[in-house]
Amino acid sequence: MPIVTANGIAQHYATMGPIGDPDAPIAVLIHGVLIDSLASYYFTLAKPFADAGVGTLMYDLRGHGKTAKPPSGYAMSDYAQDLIALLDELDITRPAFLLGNSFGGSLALYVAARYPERVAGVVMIEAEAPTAEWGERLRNVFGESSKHLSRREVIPWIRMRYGRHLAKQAKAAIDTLNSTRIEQEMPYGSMLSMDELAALRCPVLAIYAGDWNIKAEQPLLVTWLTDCTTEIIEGQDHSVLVSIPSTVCELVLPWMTARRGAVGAGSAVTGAADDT
Amino acid sequence: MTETAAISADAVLADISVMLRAILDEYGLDDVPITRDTHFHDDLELESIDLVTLAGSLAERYGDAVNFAEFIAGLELESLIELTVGDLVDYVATALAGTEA
Repeated sequence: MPIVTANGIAQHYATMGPIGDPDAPIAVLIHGVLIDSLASYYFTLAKPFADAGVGTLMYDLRGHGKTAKPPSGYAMSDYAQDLIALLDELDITRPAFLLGNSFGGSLALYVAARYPERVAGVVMIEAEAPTAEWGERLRNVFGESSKHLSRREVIPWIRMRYGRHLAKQAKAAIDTLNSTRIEQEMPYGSMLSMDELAALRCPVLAIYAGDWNIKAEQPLLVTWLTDCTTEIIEGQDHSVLVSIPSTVCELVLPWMTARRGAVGAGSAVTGAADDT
Repeated sequence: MTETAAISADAVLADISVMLRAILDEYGLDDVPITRDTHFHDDLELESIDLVTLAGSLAERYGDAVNFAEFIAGLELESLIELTVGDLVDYVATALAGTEA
């Protein structure tokens, strides 16, 4: 799969569908943090999206998959710059739908607030708004992960309980935690304020799993965002995207199609561009 | 007819072996035997991101006729874990035969 240098690092990406057709909608699919890569989309949403006429771009976040793993540059603003630089490099200048899973959804909302002219809409799957409180929660998650993953016996345990595949991924995650400043940078730095959430004009679809605690985030988004639709999929946990991708597609594709007209009109999307 | 299909399946196996060697080389695993019975998961220990690379190599070699993402998406998790090189060879050979027909 192709690799381009964007924002100073080698970024690994994949595309499917009519990415070069200026009339086709574009969806950028952003994966989660540590144990994840663009593969989560390549074998789930990408093909149905492409079949529905949506040009689809997936990429590995820095420190993940086959994208470079520099020692630093892991704040939200760095990740946002990585994405914008990648879009520039691939000559995708029209507003794109950003769909993110878990951390990827938080990043999608962040990019929509900071680069509104580049974003047609946001789909957050099991994701929280990147607020200061989220940063605090993320610090705790990183703290716990580091504590457990730093224990020597954890890899054989994961291997025994969940198999070699996850053990290998966990090993890669440990390597990222140990060789980069991701833990010290990602939960800190610039986050979105409530005012910035309220200023967001692009449509947002938030999908939650009924059996996971992230759905508690729903009232915050509905209260602060101008155009927010929420869906809860019962009987599912945090891995809802890879567990039942077809259900996720059934929710996202019609929503995207319905929002496309508004995107074409342009004004609503670009209205908040100079807000900050 | 059968003979042609058999030859083309062998050619596909040879192609896929080259693609897999390139991926395994990255991990320094250049001595793993690759046959029809080799399991992607248990024998080669490929990660999902490696399968994306393989999908790219297949698309480059065979064009749109072979759609690895579609093939994978159609499999249950259990079949995916038990997937062998031979399964992929058969899929590719069938897909290519379909385009020629």
